[in-house]
Amino acid sequence: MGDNWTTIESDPGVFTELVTEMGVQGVQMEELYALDYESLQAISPVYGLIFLFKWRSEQDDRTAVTESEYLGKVFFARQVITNACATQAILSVLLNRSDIQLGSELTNLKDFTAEFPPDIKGLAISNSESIRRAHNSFSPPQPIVPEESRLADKDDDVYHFISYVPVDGALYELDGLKPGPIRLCEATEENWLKKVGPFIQSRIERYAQNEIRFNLMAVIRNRTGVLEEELASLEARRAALLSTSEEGEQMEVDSGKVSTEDLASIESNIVRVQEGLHEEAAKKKRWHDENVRRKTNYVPFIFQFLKLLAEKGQLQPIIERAKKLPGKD
Amino acid sequence: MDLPEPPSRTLLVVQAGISNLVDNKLVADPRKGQIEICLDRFALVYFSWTERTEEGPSQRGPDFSFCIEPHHWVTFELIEGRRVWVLKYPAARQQLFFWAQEPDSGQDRHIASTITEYLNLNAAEEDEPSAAAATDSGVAKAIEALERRIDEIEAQPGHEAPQLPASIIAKHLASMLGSIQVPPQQPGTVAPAAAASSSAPAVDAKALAAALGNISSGRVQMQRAPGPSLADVLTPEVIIPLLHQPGVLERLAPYLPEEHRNEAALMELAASAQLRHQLNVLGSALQTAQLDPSQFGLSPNGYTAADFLESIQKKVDEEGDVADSASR
Repeated sequence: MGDNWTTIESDPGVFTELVTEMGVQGVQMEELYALDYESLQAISPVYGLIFLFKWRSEQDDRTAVTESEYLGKVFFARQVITNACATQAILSVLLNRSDIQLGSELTNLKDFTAEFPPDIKGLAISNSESIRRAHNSFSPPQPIVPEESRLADKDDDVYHFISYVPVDGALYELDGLKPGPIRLCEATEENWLKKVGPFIQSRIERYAQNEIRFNLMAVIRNRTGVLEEELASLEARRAALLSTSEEGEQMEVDSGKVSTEDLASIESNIVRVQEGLHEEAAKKKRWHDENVRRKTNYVPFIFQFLKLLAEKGQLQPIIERAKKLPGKD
Repeated sequence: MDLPEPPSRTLLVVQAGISNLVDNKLVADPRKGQIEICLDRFALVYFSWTERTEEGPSQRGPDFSFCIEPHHWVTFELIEGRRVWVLKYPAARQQLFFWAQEPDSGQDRHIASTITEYLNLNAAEEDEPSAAAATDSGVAKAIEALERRIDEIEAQPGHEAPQLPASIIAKHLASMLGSIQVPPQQPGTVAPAAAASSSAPAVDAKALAAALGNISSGRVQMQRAPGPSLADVLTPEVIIPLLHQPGVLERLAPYLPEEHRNEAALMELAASAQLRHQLNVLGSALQTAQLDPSQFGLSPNGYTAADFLESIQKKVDEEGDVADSASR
């Protein structure tokens, strides 16, 4: 494949494995269907948001922040290759966060490119062998040029990705096709999820009018980790409550009542968190299976299956079906 | 002064976007597009770039198009280490950059040399009369020139003939065959050329000559065999009961990823978007003659899904006959 960057599917399972393969720990991607604060809060901590849409040229009068103002504070890279734009958008979030375990590969990239202008940063990303390997690992090793699939299903068009991330006291929009970052508003780690909604919402409304496809992904902390911590703290509280109520036989009746109520709510929270953990495990298993299938070339399988049907005399009805069915156009 | 006729015979279509040189840096125009090399009826070579939309090449026609003057040398080179080509047309002081949108970067260099060949079809002709020659001789001359150049390249010792990706050969042949109205299910015409896989020279000169000789007028269209795609035929409802039969999993297990060699995973696969996607890709490749069924040891039959399935049945029947006679 050489220098090639293949197109990869915009799917949270794909992006999560991609991030992991780049050496990042404890991060996953989640598709978002709602932008309200409660929905975002439910998957917190959220490291950044990525908006993706079918690219079209449009007027944008906002001015980017000049290089001297953001260099060394905001990681911003110009996009130099189209197919890598998903990877680049994810990196724009990851490399702007100080609270993510990046792994040695990305830490080196971040340090190495820190003082580079944005187009050189973009080049450095596109030249990183390990990032490209992770990115390209999702194309199945099949001999067919997958270009005609674009004709078959027209979904596979030029998609563009924009990142939203809080850095250095402000909320930034990072778009690799712009000359620099766009500073949207002042924001802190605590309030940016409340502020980001309207910015993305206005974009969605603009694209929805023009029937442009889009979706929204969140870069978040691994849910399993979050839920396990929550479970541990709930169990610790339960244990503490149980021990105080045992030794507190002589305590006042009132406070005893309160602790039973607490205990009930803790118990129900424990059940909720455990269910969440089960769901999360099932989802990760599904993502893994899908990724295994994405990386497999099934052409030999299909061919052997059809041969087997031919041997069993079961192919003829399918041939008849193929003759009867209408074509695409 | 007459304006040149619009280009009418497409020699080659390559997917590429424009790159602009801004402050000594290449900035890619994110639009999708395609480069077309065409011959007009006077055998003049045209280079054009057209934006591609979801529906294919833009109906507005090319965004720009220019004629390569005879006796002028034009180069189309790959920039080392990048998927960017530069077209240099010194006589017209043109220097244009394009970024490859073909999926396989391994072909970038071949594409560059093939385009250079095409652009220089008229470069070496010394005693060319005015371009207002008769149409037929114009086309004939272009074919002659083309054949001559191919012979020259092949004759050069140690020079590997530029090899075009099968997909591009198929595309440009399909476009030619499309314009002479050959239904794709007639295998005789297209099979030998489409079978020109990676080992064949860039252009099968005879097939090209045959196609060009018959051209009346043409627009580029990716020819697609009629009927449903393989993915439409092999839907989950059809394949799940068949895969569920006893013995099928055992037989197909070697073709499955190791961790998916069980009944539940096989059923998941049958219903999965990933298998659907690959069936779509395979189906389209067969229907557009970009994949040669002989890769599967199948005899050429036609390009519809039904043709493909029938040739599998035929192969299995033949293998059965051989086995029968061997056991006798």
